[in-house]
Amino acid sequence: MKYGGKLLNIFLFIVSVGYVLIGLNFSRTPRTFPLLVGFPMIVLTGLQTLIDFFPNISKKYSDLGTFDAEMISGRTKGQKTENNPDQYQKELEIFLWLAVAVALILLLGILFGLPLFIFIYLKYRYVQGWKVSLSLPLGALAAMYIIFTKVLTISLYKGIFFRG
Amino acid sequence: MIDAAFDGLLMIISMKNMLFMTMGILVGIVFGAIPGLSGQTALAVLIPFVIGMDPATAMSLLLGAHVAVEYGGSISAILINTPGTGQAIATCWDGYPMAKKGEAARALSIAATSSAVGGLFGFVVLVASIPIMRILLMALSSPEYFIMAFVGLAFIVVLGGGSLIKALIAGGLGLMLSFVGLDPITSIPRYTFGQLVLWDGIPLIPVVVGLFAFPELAILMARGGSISEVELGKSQGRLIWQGIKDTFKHWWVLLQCSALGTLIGIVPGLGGTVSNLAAYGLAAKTSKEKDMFGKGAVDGILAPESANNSKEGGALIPTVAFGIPGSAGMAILLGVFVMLGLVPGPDMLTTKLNYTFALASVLAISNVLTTLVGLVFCGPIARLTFLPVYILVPMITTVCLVGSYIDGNEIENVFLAVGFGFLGYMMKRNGYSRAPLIIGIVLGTIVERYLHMSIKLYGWLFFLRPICVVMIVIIFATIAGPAFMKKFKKVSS
Repeated sequence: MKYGGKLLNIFLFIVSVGYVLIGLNFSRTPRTFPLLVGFPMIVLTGLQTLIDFFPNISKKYSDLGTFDAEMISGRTKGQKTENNPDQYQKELEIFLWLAVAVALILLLGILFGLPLFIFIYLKYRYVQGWKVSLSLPLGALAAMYIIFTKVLTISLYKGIFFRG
Repeated sequence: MIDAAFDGLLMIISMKNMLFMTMGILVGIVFGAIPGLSGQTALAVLIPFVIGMDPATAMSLLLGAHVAVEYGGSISAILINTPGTGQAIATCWDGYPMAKKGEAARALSIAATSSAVGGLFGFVVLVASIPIMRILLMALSSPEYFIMAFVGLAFIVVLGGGSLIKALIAGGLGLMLSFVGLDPITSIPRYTFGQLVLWDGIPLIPVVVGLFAFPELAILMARGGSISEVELGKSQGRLIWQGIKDTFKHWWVLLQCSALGTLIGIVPGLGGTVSNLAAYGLAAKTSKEKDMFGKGAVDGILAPESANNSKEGGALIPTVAFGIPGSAGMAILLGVFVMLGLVPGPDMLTTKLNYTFALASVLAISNVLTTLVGLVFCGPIARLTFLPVYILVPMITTVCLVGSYIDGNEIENVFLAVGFGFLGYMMKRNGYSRAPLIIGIVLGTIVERYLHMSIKLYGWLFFLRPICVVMIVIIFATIAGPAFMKKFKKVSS
């Protein structure tokens, strides 16, 4: 994720532009405040994107005290920016697991999908023994059933397989 | 007003509320004690459970947890020299040396007792400020509230540290997200892309869960192992009483730091870490045992801990009265208050004054309860830091995903939580503060309503009203003031 920061800023810039373009189609009252926020957002995200691509821009502001190069570039004195690709990769792994959890919820519902997610996670990500890999999901299943279904009487999502 | 105070107190004092408060406190202490899991994560995990609860019970659970996180942070700071939260950094400096001397229980006792005293100090200031706030609010109308929300945002953006532009972008993004749904005046759907589920706006719980829980889990998972690998000291129950006596013997430092913490809490954006460090600095200057600092000084523990808890009372003043949250945690709580029908502003000091007193009561009771629970359970809680990450991550993920779904029983919320999780992670890794985003979402609809009211009542030049002009000057001074001062000093030198 070497370009993570740049990609995020470009994404936010595009979102701001799209937001304003959609807002222009509304009538006067509903568009007032969204546009009051949207236009400055285009300027800010545009400026941040420019700073990311041309770091020298920020140096021009260095004589402006608080608005100095460090502040504009988002770095404060002494703060190290973590830019280790391996670290990023390790951290982003959680979103892969979240995708697995969401897929299991969609298929099997919350009550069975999430315990299965915990089982797969423990058994295959951390290679745990059967005792741990089974007891935790079963505990989670029991806790969810008692707290949400019985006590709070919430109808949990049943999933494609069990929707009937 | 006295009737409202009693009503508020009675609202809280029930078996059910006390039970939920204790549960909140336990969760708060646990999340506070585990480095990597913040107070915001604790709130994110607990919020789903308040759906359908009456406001008093919900307040007991959430505010109890919010208060207890501060003490939880000090447990790991004292026992394993790792602050559980950012608010406990200074507690390490004298807490750990005291623990190393074999007096961990004494240090924990000082932290717990001074937290309770600090919290009660904040409570007294909060209650005492209510009559003043009522008078102040009578002098204000919609244009002032509109500008005041921006004052709050400006403070948070500037004082939050880091990049000014990035903080402004985060706040703006929050405001943009708050406009999704039906327009409050014309009921025209905005930015809903034909999705019925978005007509009520973007739900708060998946956003909070995504922004604050998943990024922390990502980092925790990458780190692996268990949180702590340091051997825990033996329990020393007999030293607890000594710690309580120590705290009251140093009453002057305790009061000074509690007052400082309350003041810092009132200023939005300064937050717990600043109060913690500032109080330590103050104690280091005024304490009689200056040469003991860094070697296990009593004042070095009680100063940051009392300030941490007293700031909560201070932070509740602008949150309740003006809808300006003092911190990310307060912003989340503010969002929940709105969700429960408690809209901050004049109503909270007039028709719903009993709820404000109920909040104050929770603050006072939960501080005392945290101390009791903390002293009894600090040993087992500290052992939680040895819990392996492979157990923590799937369990917290499960609670977060179920919680996101429960907010409206919509499966789309689960996608939303994961999406915001990714956004939150990218923001965290690229120097964007996530607090202004939450504050923007929470304040957006309130601010928009005040804007339309102001335009209708006073026309487009409503911001030229005298109080508004003063507030605009404050915003300008807050954002641009330091830059001009530096420039001026440079020129004059």
